[in-house]
Amino acid sequence: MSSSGNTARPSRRQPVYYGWFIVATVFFIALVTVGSRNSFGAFIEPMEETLRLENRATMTWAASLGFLVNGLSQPFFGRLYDRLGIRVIISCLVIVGVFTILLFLTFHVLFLIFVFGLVMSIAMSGSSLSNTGALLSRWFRQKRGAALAISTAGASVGGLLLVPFTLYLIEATNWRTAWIVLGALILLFAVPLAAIILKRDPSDMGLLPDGVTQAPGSTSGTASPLPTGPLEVDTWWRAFRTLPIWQVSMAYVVCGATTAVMSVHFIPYITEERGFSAGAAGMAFGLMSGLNAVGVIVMGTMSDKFGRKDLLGLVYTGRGLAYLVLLLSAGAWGILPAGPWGVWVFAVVAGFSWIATAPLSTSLTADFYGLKTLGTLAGVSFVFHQIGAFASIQFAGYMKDFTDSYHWPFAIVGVLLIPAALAAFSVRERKYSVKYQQVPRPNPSPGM
Amino acid sequence: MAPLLAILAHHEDLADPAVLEKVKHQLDAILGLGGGASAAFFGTVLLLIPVSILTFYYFYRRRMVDAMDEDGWGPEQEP
Repeated sequence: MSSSGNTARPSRRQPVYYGWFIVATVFFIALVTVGSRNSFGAFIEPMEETLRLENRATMTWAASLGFLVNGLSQPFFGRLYDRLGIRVIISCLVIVGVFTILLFLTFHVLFLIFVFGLVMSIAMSGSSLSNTGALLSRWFRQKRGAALAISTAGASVGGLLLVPFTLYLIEATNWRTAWIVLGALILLFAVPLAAIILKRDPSDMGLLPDGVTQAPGSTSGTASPLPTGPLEVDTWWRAFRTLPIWQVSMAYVVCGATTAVMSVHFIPYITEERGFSAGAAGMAFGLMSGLNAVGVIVMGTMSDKFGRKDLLGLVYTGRGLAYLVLLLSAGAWGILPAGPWGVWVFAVVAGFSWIATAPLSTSLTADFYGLKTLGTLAGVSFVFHQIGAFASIQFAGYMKDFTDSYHWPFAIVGVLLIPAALAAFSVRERKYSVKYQQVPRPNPSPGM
Repeated sequence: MAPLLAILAHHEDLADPAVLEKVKHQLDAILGLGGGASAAFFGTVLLLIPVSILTFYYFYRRRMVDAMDEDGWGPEQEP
């Protein structure tokens, strides 16, 4: 349903704008789905024992396949979401919940690969941040960045809460019970919450999107047609005939490259080449991960006030400087004093920027290309991100073997942040974003 | 195969069992509880989230219904 030209009930009596309930629900969906996936690591050792697997790679194959399948299927589920709406999110949540419970039956690694690596990973694309981001973009115009950022933070909080929960649950019971509890958490809490609260469009509740008011002089609560940006598209691939989507997507490739390479190689680097103990390395990595949620919410909220592309450029610039400090503090070229301080600076600055790019990129895409194909476009962007992630991990692995150090691969990947930042800074947001188009009468978002 | 584990990068990283072990030791030191009590603690925190959302939602609906009654709007009526 389009939100333009809708008939809307005045929102003056709302204690809080209904869209924030959608944000809270999407936050919880991200928390349980991404958190369950993150928790897979807690199952590896106990399941290996039960299944009598001697090779770690056998178990991790299920996870690896899952990541690949999940990444590649996102555009298809984005397209499904664009056509069918929240039914896709709820149906996929049910499938994820049911198959999470079924994992308690795992008797062979092939069962695990089929259920976790294929079925669940495909279904998770339906309830992914790409689709929930498309949903939130319909509800929020003025505070779109903040809404998307909070939902993205749900993924980080999921790791912080659900992983320890799973660890202790396995310790107190066993891995089979833990899978049942995780599945029940999705089926008994996330699914009903989604079914009760999620609505595809504000007009379904007789409301207008946040930050949109009735047209001056309009009567009977009839909203004026919402302004549309000059780049709004009805077909997703038409967006790729324009420059901004390439600027955002190519920068997102670098985002994938610069974060994934650290996800895999950061701990080996600081333990092998910087003399960190395993405990200190874990702490540095934990600090980096813990700052995710803070960074994304701060950046998302600020983007609603100060514009998105400059902040996106700043995030890439900050991450680039963090890479530079990391390498220079290793004693390269003698410019900065060598020492562990650079690793901690990197952990703080890079951690702050880690997932901040996601809501900024999706918000920009929504502001430029409208809502009709946003699910598909966000899914395609995610594939770009994953291409960068995959390439950088492999590249750094080979370069480490070749040069016997991580310095060169990190330097090369880090240099890519310069064109990424330039691409973000050079986006013509004021020209193409619907935020800056003629709006009948902007006012503060209702109820908040 | 190991590098593939982080293919989803910062969005959906897979927790490394070795790192998890360290995390658990640190949490044990902080919480000082057994496995069952710690699971119950984290489970309660997790459940508080949907319960809080539904509670706020309940009061929101009640207030909206009251407001519509005051204005003389039926649930199906448009203004």
